[in-house]
Amino acid sequence: MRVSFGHSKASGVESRMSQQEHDVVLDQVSKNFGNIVAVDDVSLKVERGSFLTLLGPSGCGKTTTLRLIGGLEFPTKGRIFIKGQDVTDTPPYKRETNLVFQDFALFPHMNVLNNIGFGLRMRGVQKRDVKKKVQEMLDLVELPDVTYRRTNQLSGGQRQRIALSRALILEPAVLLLDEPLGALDAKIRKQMQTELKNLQRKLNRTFVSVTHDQEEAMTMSDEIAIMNNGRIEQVGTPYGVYERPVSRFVANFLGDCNLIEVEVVESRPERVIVREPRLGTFLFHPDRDWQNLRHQENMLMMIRPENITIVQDHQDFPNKIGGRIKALAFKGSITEYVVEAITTEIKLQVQGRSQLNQGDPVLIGWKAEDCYLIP
Amino acid sequence: MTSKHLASVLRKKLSDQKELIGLLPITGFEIFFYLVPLAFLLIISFWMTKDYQPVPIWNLQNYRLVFSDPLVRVAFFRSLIITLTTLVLTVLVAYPFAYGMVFKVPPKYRRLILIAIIAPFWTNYLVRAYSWQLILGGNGVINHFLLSAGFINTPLSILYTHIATRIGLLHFLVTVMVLNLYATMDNIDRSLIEAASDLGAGPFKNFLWITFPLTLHGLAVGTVFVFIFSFTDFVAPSVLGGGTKPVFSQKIVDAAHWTANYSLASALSIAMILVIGIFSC
Repeated sequence: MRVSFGHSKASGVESRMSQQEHDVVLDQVSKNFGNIVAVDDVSLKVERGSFLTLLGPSGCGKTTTLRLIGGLEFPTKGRIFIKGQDVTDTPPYKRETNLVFQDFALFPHMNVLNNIGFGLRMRGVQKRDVKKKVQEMLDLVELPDVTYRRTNQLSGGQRQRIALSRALILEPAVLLLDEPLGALDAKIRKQMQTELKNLQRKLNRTFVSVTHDQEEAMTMSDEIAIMNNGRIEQVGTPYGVYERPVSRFVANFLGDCNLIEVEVVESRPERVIVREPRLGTFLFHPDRDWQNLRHQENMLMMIRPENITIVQDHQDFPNKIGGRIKALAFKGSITEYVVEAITTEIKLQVQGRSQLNQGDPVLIGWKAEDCYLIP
Repeated sequence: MTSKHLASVLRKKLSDQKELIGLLPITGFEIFFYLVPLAFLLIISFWMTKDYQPVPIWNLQNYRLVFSDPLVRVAFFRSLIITLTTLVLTVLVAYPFAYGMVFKVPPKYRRLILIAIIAPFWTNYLVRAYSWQLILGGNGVINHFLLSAGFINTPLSILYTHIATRIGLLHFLVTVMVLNLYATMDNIDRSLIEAASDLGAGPFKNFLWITFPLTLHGLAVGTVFVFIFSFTDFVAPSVLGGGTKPVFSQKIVDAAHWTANYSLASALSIAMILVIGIFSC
């Protein structure tokens, strides 16, 4: 059972349990297409049996990284290991990985049976056995009756399960998924997020997935590797990267946040005091792993909107700011406020309906443990 | 029915007609210039020829000739053999070439090669056939080269044999087939090939199970075209093949031009159309 703390170092090679088996290891891998650097010096270790998602905006190199693991691209620099073996020069048909394509890539000239059974037939499995295994697989994904249908007669959700079956039936060491839920309707997507996660747990197989959808990544993964411009910005658990981002990019990518430029006044292992010239002084209580490695003077204070509340004057909150409500939006389960405080706008979120109106003066605050400092 | 209802029904009928009217010009053209002459052909084939004129005496004499005359039969099989061998050779040459172009050649060179293939189409087919005479003839480029290099002592007679006919047909048909196959192959979704590779198919199996089956449709279309063209072509056998071993198309021309036996020519043509029809199915 893997245990992860919130804090993670940037550049991704973080495993505290180095004696665990790693099914995928990328060692300083780079990939260039002509002059374009798609993947820039990426190092990554994926533990056996875990679900890792490569998350990032379009063009950040996550799909290329996935394809590098699968063997559909060969790295310009660096080495790739699957289950401890150097597969850098191994072509995809000899690697123990299988990829589920974004558009599924089902063979149009074959029926479902031949699609799913394709890999087995390439291995020389007898037709009779192929049929049996395929039928078992179809039962597993709850599509027992489509065996002889042509793939263009199926719905999006069905095609996805066929594509998944086609890859899983070969029992690869690592299953790769390229935007697995991208082609599905929003309705089915949520359901499939949990289904995929459960499937991975049940099979106890290593999954590496790629997505640009932050919510999808947080729901399904054990670990998230956030990429930007071909580099890994941070690797960590969903909680870890959300509450303890190592850079402005990561903080912004994973959801709304407030970023205030502050100056470090006092820095001790159990507390840090920072100051913003016009807003005042603030207190930050770091976790055990906190280190201001570079003893920076200027940092960004990050507070997530859901961690800020409206406070009464007498309440003992170490971090308080007074301001005026600039805008509010009732979203059903929550109300979002934008509060204008001297020079900054602060976003916050409260449960339920709001009692306040636009223009009202308000005092907001957050606890010392609920914020974070980013270099 | 109220008058209003009637009016709307009429209006709808008229607007439907308007759509059909748009189709009239092209339909009319097709009918007049294609179907009508074809009908004439069919009718005349059942008539007789007297004094170089078709005469409306209905009979099956022409068809009897078509199916029994030994010369006609020889010409028919000659055409068939030339067509089939040309077809096989075209596919054997064009397929690997197209495959190489789509899957092996780096994209920047592809356009150049495409232009090189299409360029010959800027000259007329007949003119190109004649220019082959210069290459294949007794004093032509090939013989000249082989003689002066000492490989042979007497000139090869390529021209005025059906080898020349095939060369003339091939050089045209290969380019057509390559273009056809190029389009077909280029349209293959590359992710299918990648998926097959990921699932364990090495290069050969990948080709056999994925690429090749997906090109069959285009290949079929190209094959029909090559067959029709080779079987009916008159230029290559005449200009390059010489008149000594006539093919079917030449027989039709003989009947029509030289003996003015239009009925016979028509019958032969109808027979040719039937053969093509059977092959296309």
